[in-house]
Amino acid sequence: MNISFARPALLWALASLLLPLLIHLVRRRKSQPTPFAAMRWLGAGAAPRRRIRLVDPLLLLLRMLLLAALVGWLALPWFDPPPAASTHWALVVPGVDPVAARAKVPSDAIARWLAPGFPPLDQSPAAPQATASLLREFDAQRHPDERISVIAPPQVDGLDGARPVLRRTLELIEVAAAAKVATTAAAASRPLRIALRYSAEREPAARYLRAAVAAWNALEPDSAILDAAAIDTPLGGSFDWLWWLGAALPEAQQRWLAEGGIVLSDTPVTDADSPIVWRDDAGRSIARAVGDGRGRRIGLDRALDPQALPLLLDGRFPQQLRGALQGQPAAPTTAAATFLIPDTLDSGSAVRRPATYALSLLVAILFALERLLASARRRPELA
Amino acid sequence: MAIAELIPPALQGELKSLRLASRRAAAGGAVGAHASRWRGSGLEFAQYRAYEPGDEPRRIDWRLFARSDRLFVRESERDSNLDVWLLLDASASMLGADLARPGQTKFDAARSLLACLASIALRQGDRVGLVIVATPALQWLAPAVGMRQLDRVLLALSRATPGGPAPDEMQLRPLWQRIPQQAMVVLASDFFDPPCVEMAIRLAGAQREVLALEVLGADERDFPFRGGHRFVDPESGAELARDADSARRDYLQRFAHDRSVLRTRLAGAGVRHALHTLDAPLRDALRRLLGAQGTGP
Repeated sequence: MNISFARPALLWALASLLLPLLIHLVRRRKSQPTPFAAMRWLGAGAAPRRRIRLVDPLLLLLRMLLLAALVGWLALPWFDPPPAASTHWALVVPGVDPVAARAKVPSDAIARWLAPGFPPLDQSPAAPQATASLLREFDAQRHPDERISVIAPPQVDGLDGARPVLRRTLELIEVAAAAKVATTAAAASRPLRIALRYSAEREPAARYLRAAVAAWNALEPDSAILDAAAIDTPLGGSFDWLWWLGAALPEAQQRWLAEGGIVLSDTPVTDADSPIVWRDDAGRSIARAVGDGRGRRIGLDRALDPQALPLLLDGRFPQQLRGALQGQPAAPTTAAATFLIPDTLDSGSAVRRPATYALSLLVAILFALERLLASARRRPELA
Repeated sequence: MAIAELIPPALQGELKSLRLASRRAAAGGAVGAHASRWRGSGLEFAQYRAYEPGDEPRRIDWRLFARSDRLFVRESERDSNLDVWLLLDASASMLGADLARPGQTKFDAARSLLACLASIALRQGDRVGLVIVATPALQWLAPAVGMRQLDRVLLALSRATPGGPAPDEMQLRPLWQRIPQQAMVVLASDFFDPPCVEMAIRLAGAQREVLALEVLGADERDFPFRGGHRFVDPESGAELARDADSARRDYLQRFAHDRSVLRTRLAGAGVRHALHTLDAPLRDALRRLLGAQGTGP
């Protein structure tokens, strides 16, 4: 069983072990003079010999031990889990084709599902889980010498926006995904369809919105399709967002909104309690959102013209518009399987047994012994 | 040191059996001013005392025996001009004490011994004077007889404080003027300072009977120190750092040599000598000093 320390830098404090030794020697040097009337018979030849002589070696040793135990205690010692003879684990990420995964398990590895409790592969494949979290848990439970292979589909769900930070690097074995995961991956890359309807007097404002969509497409080609027309043009096909510049929403669009649509309109939201979803640099509200059935209507507080909203002429406008409509973009939870492999290794944290209890007991015992010994020896020192 | 502590209670009884005898008087040959130091031979009645075996039968008061059916011996005041001078060395070196007995200094032991001698001498009817040999000036207590003189001697002894360097020859000169010939001089000292030794020898050579009471610490005799020490001379204040273990052999050799030279010189000058070390009982030194009467060189 190894002992490691959570604050290894504190072990430099072990240099304080020199302290009792120094105090001991200094106090020895300042010894009381010995009155001796017959001093004149002391020979001149008897040179004073400098000699390190420990008066009370047991007490000194005890005090140094006490200091060492205290330093060790402050450095937060841990018992490392015993190394399990370099076991090789194969973790199968749920969502892979089980048959293909079984075939890819390395011959010397113990295969487990990457699911709560890490069940063996004979059990039914679990649903996709918080992959990164489970991976960290398994990593922390295992001794750093053990190898871990991950059998994963090309696209992995349940990540938390960054590569996991683990105590070891992983071997990645990619396997074809089960069909279901493939469709969700395809759905994610569908272009955004937007319907824009504007009344004749709002035509200048619509130009800014058009420009914003064009900006999006310039950044990511074919990421958005804009269907812009006058307000009386009927809406054709399905769309994700409806931008309505004009009077109140007609009946049909109101229904679409209540069923889960997202509408951007230049009619301000009257309810002052509605959350502000878009602010300018000064912190003043640009747009508020209000729920309507399952849908969401975002009302612009100001007219879409540069005098009321100077941001229109700003390069950041397209991005901020999209942010207001989508909400803050969540960290991506789906990524290529290669993102499972950590690029930074964690050396400190691990699920280990703290050794502080035993050490604090030791400190207490040493302290009691030291007091006992020190008070027993506190007799008049005659030398 | 309180007066009551000067003579330890355990010694009180012992003192009665001790006598301070002048060697000259007891020897009998030197008939001069001291006719005899014994009571009983004079004409002037002093006191009765109980008969002790060994008393001459002719000195028993038979009339008193007839009256009281007990034997008493008549004692009379003798014409004694035996002066006993007690000299106490009060130099700082007398402050020395042993490691094992930090409170008991050589000075205390010397005071106790002199107090015992004063008690013995005054009970015998001798005249006792006291000189405290201290540095700025000698402190004198003129000789006198009687128990009140004992109180004065004890008071002076209890008030004496040691300190300072040893007196030089000039300061000791009044001793010659005040101490008469044929007087008995008891000098309690550690005899570390040559003037003290010289004075004792010269007094002995000039018709004074000198008794040297040498008081030493056991540490000075045995040198029990271990390890490094900063030795400080209490008289000069000089410091000497020495490793005790390596210095011991040399020290013991030199010290023993000097002591034996000292004792030989004292004996050669006819000085009676007794050694008291702080680890020995006072009684032994007293007995050695007083028990050697009449067996001088």
